[in-house]
Amino acid sequence: MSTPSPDPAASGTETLPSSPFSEHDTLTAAEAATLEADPGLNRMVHHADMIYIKVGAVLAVLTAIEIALPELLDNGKIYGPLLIALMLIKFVLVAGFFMHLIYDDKMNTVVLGATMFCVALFIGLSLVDLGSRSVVDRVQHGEIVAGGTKQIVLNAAEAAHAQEGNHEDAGAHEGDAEGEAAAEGEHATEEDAGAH
Amino acid sequence: MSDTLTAPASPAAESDHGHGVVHDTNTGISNEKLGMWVFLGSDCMLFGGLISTYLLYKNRPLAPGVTGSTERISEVFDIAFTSASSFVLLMSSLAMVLAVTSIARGDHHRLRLWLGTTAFLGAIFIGGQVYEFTEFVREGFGYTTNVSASAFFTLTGFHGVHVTFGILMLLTLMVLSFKGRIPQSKSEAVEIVGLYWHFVDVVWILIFTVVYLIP
Repeated sequence: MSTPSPDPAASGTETLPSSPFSEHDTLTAAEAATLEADPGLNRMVHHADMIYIKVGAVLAVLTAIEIALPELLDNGKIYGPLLIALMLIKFVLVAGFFMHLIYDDKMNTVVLGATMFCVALFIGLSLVDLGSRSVVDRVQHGEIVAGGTKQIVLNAAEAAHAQEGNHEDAGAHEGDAEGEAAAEGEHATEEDAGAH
Repeated sequence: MSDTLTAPASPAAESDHGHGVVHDTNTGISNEKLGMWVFLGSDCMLFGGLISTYLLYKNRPLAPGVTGSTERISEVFDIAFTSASSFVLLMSSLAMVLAVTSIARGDHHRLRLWLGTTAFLGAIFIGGQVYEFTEFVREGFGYTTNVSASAFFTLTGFHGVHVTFGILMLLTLMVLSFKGRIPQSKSEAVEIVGLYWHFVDVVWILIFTVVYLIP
């Protein structure tokens, strides 16, 4: 938060950015002088150190949980999502506290946020591809062909072939009947002509 | 690069990593710091690509048309050992942030102490990685064993190179501090190196979970 601060001399107070180093948003000149006179125990910096040590302890605990998770959980399905959740918490803690993003100018957060969005998109699309790999493999091995799986297509082809055979038989029968009818007709015409 | 307009009047503001200092830039923050953030952003994309590549190949040791071993490198991971390495790197991040607070309050002795601790912990991590790689080679997994192994070594190797560069920067800061060339007013230099170090830690948090822990 690097905004120009008001003239300390005019107001008698000095506006400080919100950070782990400052317990208060404003310090009077007297307070600042007191702190300056007490370099051995600069309570604000000490306060910051304690915050960082606590964050470090939380990170260590989260790492221990990550490692112990397979022993703690029977359900393997939630193992992956839980690990990712723990990873994100650790990521936010390090980026927020150790890299000072929560105290610093928001521009830095925008830079990291935009990058992480792109990386998430990148890895996400890769995972989508990974999820469809089994189908791609079956296509490459010829198990899936145009129209469905190989077995489905074979069954369909057999059914079509069988149906064609039936049609041919039926067509042949129809042809015989037509031929007989035509022959009968010709015969009748000849008989009529003989009678005349 | 970044001219400072006003210096904070109190030690509290001075000790605030230079946050109390207004920079004469469009963003109000120093160009050096923003430059480091942009670099880290681009580096993040690099690691995103490497992680994606490993994910795509980790269960497919043999790509179409490529010969090699059919075994997956994840079968020889030593999770307990890598967990210890991860813990060491996390603690190095804590040491780094304590170094930043030390220079912020003008404590040069503690600055050197924490910088040295950070570099030492980073060196332990690198030593562990070298040991891990050696074990993998003994198990029969070299860089060209299959695409899965190649993707793994490329990803973790790049991270190792980053850690090594970080250690060199930390040692450089220590030397500069001994020479008295890092006054309290230039604490931002330590903070910028700290940003790089924490980034390396953040990337390892991703790699450790995605590569080592998720089956």
